[in-house]
Amino acid sequence: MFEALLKYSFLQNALIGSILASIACGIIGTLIVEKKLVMMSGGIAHTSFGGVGMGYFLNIEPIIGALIFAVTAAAGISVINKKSRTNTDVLVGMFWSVGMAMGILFISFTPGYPPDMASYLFGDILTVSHLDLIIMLILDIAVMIVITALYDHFKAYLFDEEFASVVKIRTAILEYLLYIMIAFTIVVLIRVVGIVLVIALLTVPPAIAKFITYDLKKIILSSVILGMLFCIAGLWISYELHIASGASIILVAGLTYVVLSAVKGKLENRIILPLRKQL
Amino acid sequence: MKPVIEIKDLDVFYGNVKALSGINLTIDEKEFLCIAGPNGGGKSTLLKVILGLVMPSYGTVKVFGKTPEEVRNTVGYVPQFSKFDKGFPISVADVVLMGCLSSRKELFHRYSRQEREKVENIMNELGIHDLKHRQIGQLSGGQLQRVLIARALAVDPKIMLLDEPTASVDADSKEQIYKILNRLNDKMTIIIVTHDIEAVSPYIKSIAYLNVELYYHGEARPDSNAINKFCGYPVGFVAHASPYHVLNRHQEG
Repeated sequence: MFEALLKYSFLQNALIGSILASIACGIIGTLIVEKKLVMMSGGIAHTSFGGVGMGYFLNIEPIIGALIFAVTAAAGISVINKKSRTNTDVLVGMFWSVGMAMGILFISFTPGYPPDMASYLFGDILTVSHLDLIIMLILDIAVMIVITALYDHFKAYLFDEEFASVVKIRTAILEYLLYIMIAFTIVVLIRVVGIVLVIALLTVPPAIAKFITYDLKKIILSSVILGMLFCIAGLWISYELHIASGASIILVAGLTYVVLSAVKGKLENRIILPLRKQL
Repeated sequence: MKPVIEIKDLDVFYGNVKALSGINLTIDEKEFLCIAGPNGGGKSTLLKVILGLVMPSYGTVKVFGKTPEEVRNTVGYVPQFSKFDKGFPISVADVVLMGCLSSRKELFHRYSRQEREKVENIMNELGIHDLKHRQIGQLSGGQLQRVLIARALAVDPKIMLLDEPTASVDADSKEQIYKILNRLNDKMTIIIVTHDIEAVSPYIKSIAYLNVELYYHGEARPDSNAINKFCGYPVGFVAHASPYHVLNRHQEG
């Protein structure tokens, strides 16, 4: 694979894409796991399918359509939840299916042969384009700047929203920011693992990171690194075995979690505890 | 004694449900007030109104003569700890530092050396300094409760509001927490919501019975039978003094 990596630019793009995706994924994955927003993230991801369809229909880049839909869904769920006091879970469910339905509607109205949606649903990192990489880089930078600038505030907000507002932290703004960053991250990940598979890549790295550390910052950093390992391993398997990259990345991640949690008890004393002390 | 909190004709509705009705309550400086009453009687809601987290549907609330939002950083709040996610990756020291976040510059915020020293002192004072690197899930109920009190103190409050600080805490820790509060009462006003009236009664200066309406506010030695009748549940109160108080609908302000 290494010779091929030097030779083919599509593989280079795939590798850069894996690394870029893991950055946003590790940061936001940790945040959504701690704030219990996993299902909400799934809803935003599926809603963005409507945007992909709209992209094909209007003949614009589908990933831009996905970005528009994801941000609208994130803001929509948050605003409607505040205004109508409808349960977030219920809203997520509605956005989830309505978004998918709109995607299918747009595609049926698109003239000519129906486009191949599988790469958006299940991810195909080998087809990541130059434009995709630029969009991923911009969204990554946006997420990193927001998190570093507001780290202490986000930590307080995640841990105890009520106390955060008692000490005059503007939690409503943090919530909007977080939701929009979730939307950004999902768009970054769509090209890599696809709409349907996004959730596992967001949740598995922080879940493993929590085996070894209790520090939020370290969980974020280890999640980024774990995400990169999963993506690169998955990419390699996908290239060698000619299977879809999304599926191989998710299976690598899922399998790693299962194996690690199975042996966790046995490793606890010998490896995890010393490692935790070092970290 | 000058009043620090003045509540006039307060009504609070959640949708169609009346949580608080016609509350008139004045709390003086250095008061140690216990708010008692049945579950769903609006005790926590009253604290949240004073904190500015819940808006009054009718009536006014003034803290130091201003609206609750304006004076939030003079009020320390200790929420019910049972609702926390104990698996959250945060250490004791970081929880207490959260109290210093108030009214500081927001972007690229870092805690200052003075703030860290202040937090060290508070943790020493409350006997939790040894635990400062522990993740909060590794604490007992009583220890976690002291951490939350420390966090509220890091705000430098003039008023402390505590919501059931001794729920699911063992007897020794309860005693310890009440003694801490007793000491703090020299410097600040303390308002505590609790079911545990018997244990808190040696320390408090006054008591309020709340069941949507305010039934009593005054000296902490009322007739326990009458209170039981109004609150609809036994309050576990030992009457230390002769019960000559007449239990009136509370009228003040």
